Amino acid sequence: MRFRFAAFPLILASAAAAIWCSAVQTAWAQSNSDPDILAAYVYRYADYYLPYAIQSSAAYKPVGTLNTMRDAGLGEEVDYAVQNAIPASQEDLREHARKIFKPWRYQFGSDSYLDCIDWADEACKAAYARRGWNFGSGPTYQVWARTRAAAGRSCSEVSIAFRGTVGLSGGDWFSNFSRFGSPYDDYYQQLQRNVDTIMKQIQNLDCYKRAARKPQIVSTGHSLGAGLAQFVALATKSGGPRIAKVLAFDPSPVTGAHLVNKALLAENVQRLVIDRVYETGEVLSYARAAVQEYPQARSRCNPQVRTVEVKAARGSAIGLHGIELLATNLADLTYNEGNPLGYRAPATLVGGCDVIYRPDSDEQLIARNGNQRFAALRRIYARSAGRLVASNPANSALRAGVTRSGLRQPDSRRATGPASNAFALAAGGALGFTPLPRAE
Amino acid sequence: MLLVVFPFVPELVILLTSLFAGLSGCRPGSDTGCPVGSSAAEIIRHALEAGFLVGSRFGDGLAALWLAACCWLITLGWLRLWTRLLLAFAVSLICAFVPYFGPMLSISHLVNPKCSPNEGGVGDCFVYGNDVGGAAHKVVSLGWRIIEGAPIAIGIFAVYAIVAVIIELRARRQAPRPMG
Repeated sequence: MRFRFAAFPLILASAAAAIWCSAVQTAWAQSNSDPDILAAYVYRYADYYLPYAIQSSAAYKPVGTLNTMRDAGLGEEVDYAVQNAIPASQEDLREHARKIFKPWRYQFGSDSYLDCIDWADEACKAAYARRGWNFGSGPTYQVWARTRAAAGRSCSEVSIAFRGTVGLSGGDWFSNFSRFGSPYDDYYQQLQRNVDTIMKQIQNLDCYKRAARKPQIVSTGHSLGAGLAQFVALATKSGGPRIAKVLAFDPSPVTGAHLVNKALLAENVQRLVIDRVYETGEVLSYARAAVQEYPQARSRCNPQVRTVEVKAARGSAIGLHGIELLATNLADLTYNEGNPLGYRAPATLVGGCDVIYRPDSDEQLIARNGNQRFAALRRIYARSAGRLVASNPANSALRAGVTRSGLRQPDSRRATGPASNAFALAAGGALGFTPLPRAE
Repeated sequence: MLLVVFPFVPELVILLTSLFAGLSGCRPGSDTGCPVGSSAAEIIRHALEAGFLVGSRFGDGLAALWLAACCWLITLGWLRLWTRLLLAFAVSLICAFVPYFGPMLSISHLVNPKCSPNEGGVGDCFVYGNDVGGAAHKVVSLGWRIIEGAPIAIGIFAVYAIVAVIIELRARRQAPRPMG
């Protein structure tokens, strides 16, 4: 009996050690986050990231609905995607987001198990024959194209948006944890044998063929979707078109790099850019710090990995891990009382590292106009400089504190101190003025 | 047994509520409310919030204390080494998975065209005529906390296995040897 009680302190000590380790890991993860674009300056780029956040959000909705809208040809998918990315209580932000997202059109997608899209592809057939067991579900993706009405319905950029985890899908969760490989035919493996067919389908798009300059292909997604978006960039076969850039929102630490052979991997990461955009403190930021698969966040060139921290909300690590919240905050960060703020695309040439991706010329135009607007608004911003910002509520219950007109009501539950205010940090930064978000 | 079941009361509440709702003729995808207690949707929403809280705290480290307490009770209640190890392993498995996936699994039978919980927090989730969206989406993301919770459970079990073996060896050594 004495031994039994002697064992108890030992077990308790182990438990205390486990708690301590857990706390240390969390603290380490937080101290390890060293973003390339600081939260204080993310408003400059938020407008640039917003369309991809909207696509990542729309990826959670059924492909069939978007197919119907595409076939109708009325461009309803723009409104549909924005409605799913930004809550109804933020109608003014929705209107702003619609303008930003207007050039994009849905092209095609899939939400079923991917055996072989093209059965003439021998490599795919061989890989399919070696497949593991599966749940009958596959990676959901939607392909969008940025169209140019002035250029004969051609497109300048094509984006593949991947869906994140849907609650009760075993296939999604097995894919989330296939960090070191799995006997399951997970979404990474399904994509690996089909990625080149998807790229061919993109090349066969009408708007792609019409383009005088070959459109850039980018990939995006949220969480699991962001992991898959990184994977397609790493796994496209040699010789074909490549993914120029990945825009990964709250990305999974799994990128599927372990599935790609080293030679192909080395080829595909040449001049590739990966932007990892996340809300500060979201649940996967700790997982990425602990078990991030290649490429690591510190990779500066080939591939150039850029971490972009958005610090526009407070809440639990899980509450912050949502694309609706991130998209709404990105929209909010670029919008001030009816006036869209100017923005820029993140620099393409960093530290002498050349990249494939070039910002669209349309964006440069918007950025120029935006800078002019900036100058005009400077006086207004200066007048409002003392105003505090409330973060976007993380859930619908808190959203109820937002009025129909989109103006926020004071809410004692929300912290409004400088620590929660991304813009407050900017005031002491390099800027000549402090752009403020919309009034409370 | 009670100690093992206690953290998972929210999941049991969800299952029982939906069972009673089903017996009352309510359907998860219907537009009208379901009068089980005050409202079936309200009970489920609160239970999801509670399940989310339990999962979050377990991921924060509470799992270690809970599992240590379970191991202690196993040591007091069972004498054979293999029984102790088997029970501790079963409880560790429960501790490694259920707090993080339990709330999500408990609403699996409630998914309907108006409710598709996802980690993006995209869309509403209407169950028995009311929106439980925020809570339903959050319990999906809770699954990621297994990254913290599972190592804690495995670690505690490993420590307990070593301790249990040492106890067994010392007990054998000190046991009186048969005469002759």
